[in-house]
Amino acid sequence: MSVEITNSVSRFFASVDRCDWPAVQALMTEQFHVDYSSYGGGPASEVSPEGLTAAWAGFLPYFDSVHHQIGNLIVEQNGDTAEVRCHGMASHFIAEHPGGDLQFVVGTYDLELKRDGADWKLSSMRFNFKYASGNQTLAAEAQRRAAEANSETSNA
Amino acid sequence: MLKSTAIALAAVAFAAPALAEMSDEQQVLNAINNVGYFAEQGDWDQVAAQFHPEGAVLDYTSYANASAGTSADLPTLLPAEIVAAWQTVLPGYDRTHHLMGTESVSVDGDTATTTANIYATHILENEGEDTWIFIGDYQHELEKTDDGWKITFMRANLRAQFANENLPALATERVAAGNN
Repeated sequence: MSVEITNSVSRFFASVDRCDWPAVQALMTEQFHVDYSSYGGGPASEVSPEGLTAAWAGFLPYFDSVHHQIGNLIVEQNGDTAEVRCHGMASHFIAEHPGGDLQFVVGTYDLELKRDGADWKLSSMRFNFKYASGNQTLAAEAQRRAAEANSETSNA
Repeated sequence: MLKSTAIALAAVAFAAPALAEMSDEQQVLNAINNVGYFAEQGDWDQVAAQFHPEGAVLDYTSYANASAGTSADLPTLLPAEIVAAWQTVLPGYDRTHHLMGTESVSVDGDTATTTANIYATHILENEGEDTWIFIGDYQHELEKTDDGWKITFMRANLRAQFANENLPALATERVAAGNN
C-alpha cells in the first residue's frame, strides 16, 4: 500500500502546475508545515491550505507556465504517517522574455503525509535548494505582472 | 515458555508493520532511488547499503569515462569497491542532481527488475562552463534479502551528454588534489 502515498505527492505537484488551488488544498492537512528557507522563503512556518495556496496564487499563475518535474520518490511509511524524499526540477516559463524564457529551480523535497480515511494528505513540505539556472529575472517579471493585475483589480 | 514465545511473537508483529505495509515495488524503487540521493549527500555507507553485500555488476560500458563498470568483462564489485570508485569523482563537484523518472518496476518472487530515465546535472564552478549533463536510462536488477531489496545489477545507458564534457575530469582532479 504505497501507491496511494506516491499518487498524493504526484497529484499535489501536478495540481500546483495547473494552478488548481482547490485540488491542492484537498491534498493538504488543515495544519501544514512549510519550509522554503533554503531558497529565501523566510523561516519555516505553520500555515493553512488556504493561506499557502493564496500565496502561490499571487505568484505562480503569472508565469506563462510552471512545471514541477518530480522524481526518485523514496517512501518510508510508518502506520498512518509517511515520509517521502524526492528530487525536483521546477521550470518557470515566460515566452519571449528578454534574457531567455526559462528558469530552472532545482533541489530535493522532504515531505510528510498523514492518512486521512482512504486518503493520504501532505502535512509538511521542505524544499532543499541546490541550484538555479537559466534566466533569473523571470521571477521578478512574474511578480511585476502580479502587481499589475492587483492594481487593475483594485482600480476596477 | 509460552509467555516468552507470545512476547517474542508480539515483538515481531510490532516491528514488522512498517515494512509490511510498503509494497515490494516501492521498496525496490526506494533502493534504486536511494543510490543517487545518498551519493549526492556524500553518505557513502547508505549508498553501499543499497547494493547486495555479495556484490553487484555495474555496467557503464556506454560511458567510457565512468569511474567504475567500464570493463567489458563486467566483474562483480563489492559495495565498498563501487562507492570507492564513485568517491574518486563525485565529491569533486559543487553539486549534483540525479533526477530520475519514467520508472517501471516488476517483481517476480525474490527478484526484481526496473527501468528508469536519468537526467543527471553536475555543477562545478571553473573557468569554463560550470555544468555537465548526462542523460540516459538505467536498468537495475535486485534481490530480496533478509535486509531488504538489494541491487545486484546496474546498467547506465548514455543517450546524450551536453554542456561542459570536461567537468568529470576537473572533478576527479579536484578530489585527487584534496580540494573538495
